[in-house]
Amino acid sequence: MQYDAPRFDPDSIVSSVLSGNEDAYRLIVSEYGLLVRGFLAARVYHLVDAEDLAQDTFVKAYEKLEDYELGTNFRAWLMSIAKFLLNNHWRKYGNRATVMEKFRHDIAESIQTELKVSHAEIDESRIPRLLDCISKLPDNLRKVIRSGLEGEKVSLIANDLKLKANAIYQLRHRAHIALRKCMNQTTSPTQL
Amino acid sequence: MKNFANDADYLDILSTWHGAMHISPKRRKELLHRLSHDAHLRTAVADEIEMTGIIRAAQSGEPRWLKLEEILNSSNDTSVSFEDSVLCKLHNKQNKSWFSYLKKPSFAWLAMAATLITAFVIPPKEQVPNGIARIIKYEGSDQSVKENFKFQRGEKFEFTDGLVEIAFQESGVHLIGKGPLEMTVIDNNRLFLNDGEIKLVVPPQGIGFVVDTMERKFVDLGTSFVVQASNLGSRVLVLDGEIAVGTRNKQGSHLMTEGGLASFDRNGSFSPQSNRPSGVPEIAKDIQDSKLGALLGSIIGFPEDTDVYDPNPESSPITNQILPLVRSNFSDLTCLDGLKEGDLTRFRGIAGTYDLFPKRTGLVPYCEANGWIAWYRGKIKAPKKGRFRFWGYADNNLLVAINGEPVFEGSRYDSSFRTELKIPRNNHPSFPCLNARAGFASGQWFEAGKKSVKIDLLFGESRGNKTSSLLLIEHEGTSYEKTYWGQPKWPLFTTEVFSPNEEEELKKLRTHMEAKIMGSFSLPNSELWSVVQ
Repeated sequence: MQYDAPRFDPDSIVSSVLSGNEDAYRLIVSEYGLLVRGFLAARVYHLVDAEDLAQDTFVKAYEKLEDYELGTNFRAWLMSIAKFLLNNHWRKYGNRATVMEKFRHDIAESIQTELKVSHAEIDESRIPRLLDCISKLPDNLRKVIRSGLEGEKVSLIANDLKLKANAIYQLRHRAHIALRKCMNQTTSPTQL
Repeated sequence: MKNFANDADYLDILSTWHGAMHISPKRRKELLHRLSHDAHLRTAVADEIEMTGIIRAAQSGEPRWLKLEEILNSSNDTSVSFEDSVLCKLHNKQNKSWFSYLKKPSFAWLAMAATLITAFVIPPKEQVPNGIARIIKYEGSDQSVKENFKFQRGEKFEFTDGLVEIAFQESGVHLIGKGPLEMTVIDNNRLFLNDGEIKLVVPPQGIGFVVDTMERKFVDLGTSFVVQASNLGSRVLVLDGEIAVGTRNKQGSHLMTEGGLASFDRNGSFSPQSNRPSGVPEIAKDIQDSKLGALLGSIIGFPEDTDVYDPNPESSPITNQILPLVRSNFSDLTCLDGLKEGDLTRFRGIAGTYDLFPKRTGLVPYCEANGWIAWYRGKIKAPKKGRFRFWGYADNNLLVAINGEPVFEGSRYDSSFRTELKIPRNNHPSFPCLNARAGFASGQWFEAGKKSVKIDLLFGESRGNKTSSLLLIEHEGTSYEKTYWGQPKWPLFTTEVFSPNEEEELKKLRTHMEAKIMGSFSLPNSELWSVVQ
């Protein structure tokens, strides 16, 4: 079966919201929700903070919707709000950050350009396929992906799979390559 | 593209990024240097981080965005109406008294919803022989309030002070109001609160009871809850069960469950209970003079510029550092080696904010990012024989041990005291305490009486300088005054009397808590714990 979903047109939705159909804004949230949440979850350690910032992004975008210029790039406009709120978050809580949180921030700073490129390469219309793609991964890769990597989870999954921690990152790396490939396939996801 | 799967730098960057590894300052410099000079590595790390974020978000499920929902619902004229959504919820509960309404045809539904929506045009007073509600008790000095007074439909009621108890005849809803109060009894199952505070206990036959304020409608779904209204807005605290909160004139609703606390201001904005610092004032009690009969202790932290190895860098270095002390029943002090100690200080109870505590106790300068802990220890004797238990909460860490055994742990959710020691504790979300979503924590009962007991008390900050805490004690069998929403006002745990100025400050703190976060406590009277030298 061909994967041929119609392209989402944010401008028509924005026009609809601005003309009084506020409920249509849910379509915007639905289309870009994972993209914004993923962007923030990649940059903020605690998922709950990322979710709060993502919500604030959509609230702010809703409030400022009239400022969006139709015909330009809605995704870029939305992500600029997310980045603005993320920077505020860093400024606000930076003085409470641990040494390692500061180091993570330093890493993010030094790869800022590459992160932009990498984020731009993610096609929001492909993201919904991610969970399906994860389910198609071989057992050990799926286990590594599903366990998450935060904090001590790596050592737990390493014990479980009887591997060293570094091997988990290697598996994760392989899994990510496979997932990107799967998400970008033009046909529906098949066994990887 | 180059394969980095076996590149040690790449793997170290990822493991530190994910918080699984703590590396030395030298290694951190090396990695940042490599990143700044290797474009391929930067791309590989960026791709990995970006993908990890998307996967985290995708696997975490649908978020529950109340603030966004609130905004969309309040501007949405086409969604399911508030009353429909509430009645739908009631339908799910299979409540008998509402079930007959649910079987009505849709036009009847619409009529009923319309009636409810326009109910804010409060109906004229209407005579019902036995009234629809009755005052069953009043304690206060307002002469206009009479016990057994029967309310008619549309009857306005106000009084200046004290507590009133009202029973609704058909629904069995029980209301406690605190003066000054102004409200209008609209019907058997509805009232409008203009100003003041009420607590409702709603029995099964009263499910669906509505409290209107200028900003919101609060619909009971089998519960007890407290509503406050003033000219600034309204607030609700759910003590038990579940309520639906709907906008005043528009549509849409959301549910709040036990422990939920939310404020609604006049311009319509909604503030769920915050998990940010509490805003509780700092109280400058006299802690310096180490006089006879005082429980003494000191504050501990890492020296300035300490870079601590910590296997779990998201937790607090100082808390992790002293875990062996707690695990050894406070006998192994080797974990304190190399730490910086502040001045000897007196224990004067724990209540309020402690942002300036490290400065006031001589710990500054220290490594603020790694946190601080105050440790008080000594022998104390109970004011009377019996069983006692501690109540309280701290942002971040609070632990009490009696005779070396921890009996109370009231730390924040991410404290190592909580995650590592797993000391039995009960959370009470319907008794809000400072900024804790879980409410007050209570510990295990312990015996005290004729013999003195050894106490070790730890409290402090995981990192930074936003600290707040409260520690109270309950004696089994003693009856304590309660707040009108039902929380006993257990006394502060302390070993010394407070000066008049300190008492005044503590009373201000209590007023602040009761007004802002609906928590409370009492000041210890003559029944103080004494310190055995």
